[in-house]
Amino acid sequence: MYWIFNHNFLIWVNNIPLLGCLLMIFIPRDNLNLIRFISYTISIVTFLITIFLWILFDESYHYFQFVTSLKIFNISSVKYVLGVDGISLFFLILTSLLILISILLSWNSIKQLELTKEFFILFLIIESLLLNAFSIIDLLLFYIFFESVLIPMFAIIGIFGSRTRKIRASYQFFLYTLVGSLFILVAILLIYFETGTTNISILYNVDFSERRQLVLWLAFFASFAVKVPIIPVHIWLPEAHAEAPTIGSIILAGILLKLGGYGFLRFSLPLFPYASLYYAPVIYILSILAIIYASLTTLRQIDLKKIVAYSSIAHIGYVILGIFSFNMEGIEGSILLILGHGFVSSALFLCVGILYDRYHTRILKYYSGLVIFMPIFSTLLFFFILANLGFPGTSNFIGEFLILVGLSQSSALLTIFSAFGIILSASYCLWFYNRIVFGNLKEKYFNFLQDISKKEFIALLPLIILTLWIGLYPNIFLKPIHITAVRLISHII
Amino acid sequence: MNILISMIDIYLFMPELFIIFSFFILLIYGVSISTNKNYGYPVLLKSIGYLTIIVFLFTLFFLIKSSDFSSVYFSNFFFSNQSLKWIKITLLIISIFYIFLIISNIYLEKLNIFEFFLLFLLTILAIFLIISTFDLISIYISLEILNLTFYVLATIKRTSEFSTEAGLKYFILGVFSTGILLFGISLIYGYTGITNFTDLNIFIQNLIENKNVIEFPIQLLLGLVLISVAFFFKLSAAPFHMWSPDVYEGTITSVIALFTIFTKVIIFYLFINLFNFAFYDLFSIWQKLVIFCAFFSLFLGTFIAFIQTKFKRFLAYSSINHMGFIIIAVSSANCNGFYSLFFYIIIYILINLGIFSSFFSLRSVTSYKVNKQARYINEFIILSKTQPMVAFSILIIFFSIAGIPPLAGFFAKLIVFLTCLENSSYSLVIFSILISCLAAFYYIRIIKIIYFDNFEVWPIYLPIDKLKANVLSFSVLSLTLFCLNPNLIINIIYIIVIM
Repeated sequence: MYWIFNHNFLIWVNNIPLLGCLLMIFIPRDNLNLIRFISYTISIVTFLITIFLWILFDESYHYFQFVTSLKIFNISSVKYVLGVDGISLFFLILTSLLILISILLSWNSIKQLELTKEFFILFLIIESLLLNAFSIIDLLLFYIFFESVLIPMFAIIGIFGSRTRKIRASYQFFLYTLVGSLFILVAILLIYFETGTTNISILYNVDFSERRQLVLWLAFFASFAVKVPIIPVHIWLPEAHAEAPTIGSIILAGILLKLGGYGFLRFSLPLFPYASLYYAPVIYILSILAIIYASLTTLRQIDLKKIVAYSSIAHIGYVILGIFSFNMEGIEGSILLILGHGFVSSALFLCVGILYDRYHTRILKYYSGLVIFMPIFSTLLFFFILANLGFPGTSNFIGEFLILVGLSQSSALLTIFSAFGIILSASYCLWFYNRIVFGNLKEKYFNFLQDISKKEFIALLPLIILTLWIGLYPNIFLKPIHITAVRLISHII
Repeated sequence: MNILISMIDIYLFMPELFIIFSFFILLIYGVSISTNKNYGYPVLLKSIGYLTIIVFLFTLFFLIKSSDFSSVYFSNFFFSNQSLKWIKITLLIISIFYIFLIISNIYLEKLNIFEFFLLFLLTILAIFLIISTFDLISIYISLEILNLTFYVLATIKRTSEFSTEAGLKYFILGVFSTGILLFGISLIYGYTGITNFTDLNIFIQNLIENKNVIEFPIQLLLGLVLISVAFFFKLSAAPFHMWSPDVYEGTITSVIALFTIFTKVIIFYLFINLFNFAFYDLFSIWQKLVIFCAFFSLFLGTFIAFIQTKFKRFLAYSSINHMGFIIIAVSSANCNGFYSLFFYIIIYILINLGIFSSFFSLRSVTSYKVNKQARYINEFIILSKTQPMVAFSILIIFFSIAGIPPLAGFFAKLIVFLTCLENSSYSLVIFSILISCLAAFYYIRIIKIIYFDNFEVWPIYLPIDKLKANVLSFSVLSLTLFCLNPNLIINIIYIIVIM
């Protein structure tokens, strides 16, 4: 058992999926069951190890824990050092859980069966890259992992997407992210040139001059803003979601958006405190725009996935507001909302994916009166719609509430606007649910109707449990974040 | 005492001497046997190809076994030191790969002229001479050997009018640029009376220190500009790039691989030698010229490449784009700049080996024993289904060119940006970043064509043969596995450069 307490095991966490890829290369393509089985076991193993991380996490220590380093990926003074602290812990767990659920779900739903092996290999590569990105304590390598996720996502959206507009969507996704990311490259190089290191734990103690901070913060913002997405560079998100396969959407919504939030928490705030305070009004305006505009646009959408995508943008607007409110409640609330949004949005995309698997259309017009033949599905969907609203008792409520508390300490006017956003989210969520589930059954469009299957139910189950758990007893989740958030705030002040 | 040729000259010149002798022996062998009626006029192409590989291996042996000391030889016309030795070794290994690449392709192109490899031997000889020049006159002489062989190689497919026209264009423009080079050299000689690099360096230093000039003498500046014009022409950097798309399109692909892979390294090394050693103190003058060319190359290379439909022209414009990046690295006259340049060139050569080996393999079969090289970008279609492994290799190579992490091309661009930032040329960095975003688009478009487009008639290609596959896999693997331990190669190149 001692190997667990050996400090190496963060490397295992990150790179077990890569080992799985290596294994899978040697399996012949037709042996579908073996491929699925291997990817499934690898994702379960990764998930269990990340749970270990949580159990062994020391909540009273505010620096990085489980720090390990390897002698690969070394470029002059850039070293591959991994570490977990309060902020990244839950991102790791979120990532491995969502990948586990997606692999479970994609058992039978890949259209091009002969490309199953490539699909799972891409998936495991994405998982490994994301886990690495969330746990690495080095700026340049974070950037490399952050950007390397583009290639497999481009392939997944483009090859396994569901409609013919997918090429344009994957182009947009790729190019938007690329343009934003090149500015952050220049900023990282400038930091490296000025301080001689890109190690975050050293950089946290470096004070940049104020003018330089302003420029560097803008460069970092350019990249994270596209990833988050912040209006006005949000257009790639609905397109990418509409074209991606279900599992691609889950990964996109659940994790890739969090990369932007994580980037803000890990890099923009601690490294450039003066610049963050300086630009905070801009962020406030953009986030409130995101909340209100995205919620209003949702009312006009006809594609189910686009509705969920725009609601994603709205929720991330809350997250960014929370991050930039510069107090304890705001940051803890934003991390909780990130977690909650990860669960709830993924679950909503899952439900839409269930509908798409059966009826092969995502246009709102064709769905009505589903409760008659799919009661279990309707119940689950209702639960997630309420969670999306921010209904008390679910994770989103805790997150939004904490964010509003934090925001009210910064500015009362903003709180009024964002509380207004909650009403808007209620409007589109309930209307969405109402139109699909209740009403008369439109028989002429459907040939057969089938309720949710056991596999999909089991895939949704962890999300339900986690949402309720965070909603009813969030303290367990808040404790690890607490001390890190304290350090973050004290540094800024 | 002026001894014309001493023992040390022969010793340092040994690899080149060996190449000259073997060239003659192979020439006699080729001519005497292939025109021999008793042997049935055999086609000696492949045998001479393999023999050149053996020649290169022997030259490698000579180089590795030679001792490391720096000196000038042949009465200060050439120089040699440790780093030069390793650069020559690298070039020989690359040329061995190049022969692997084209040896079966020449057969398929029905180009049964065995002098091809002999001309290639002469090219390598010229390259060795160019990178060890130390004098303005020997620049001209060695560059002329290279140019002459390139002119002949450009028109080697005598049965194709297209190729002849391209070669003629290259010849006329190349002669013109050599004339400009000679004019620049003669201006400098006319003003200073010296042609050796060290003497030039001392002269210009004294000029600045003693006379405290504010304006430099016009002959020096004009000579400088004209020499660099000739170099930029050879490199196909804008605004002297007009010849490269037409020549690239017309000449046969094997020769284009030669042009792309070999000219860059030698001309840049020559550039660095000349401008950092001889004209170092005129830095403020030539830096502006270099930055102007960089801007222009980046700009033109990106925007014209958008509308290309033929692959070879596309390749020409993309190489103009890359030249822009490398010229940025040249514009800083310190060791770091040189190091980033060399690193970028090595990665660029790897990428080009990969591109050419995958592009050569696209020979569409039209009827029995009649195959045609793919010419248009759209002929890349559905490669993912007909040849999935080649398609995947092309994916990796193109993502690497576009500069996407974690592939090797990204690291090359990273280091160039770092040197640029150290010189505080921020606008250059921002401009080149934006340009590389735009450039990424048309590289990804090719990947899109391979993977995502559909067409009713699937083009069928010959499967790639073993030697080319070896080169392709070497290129792809080195590009992917580079990210695992970049320190390894970076340190090696740094040590080579510092010496």
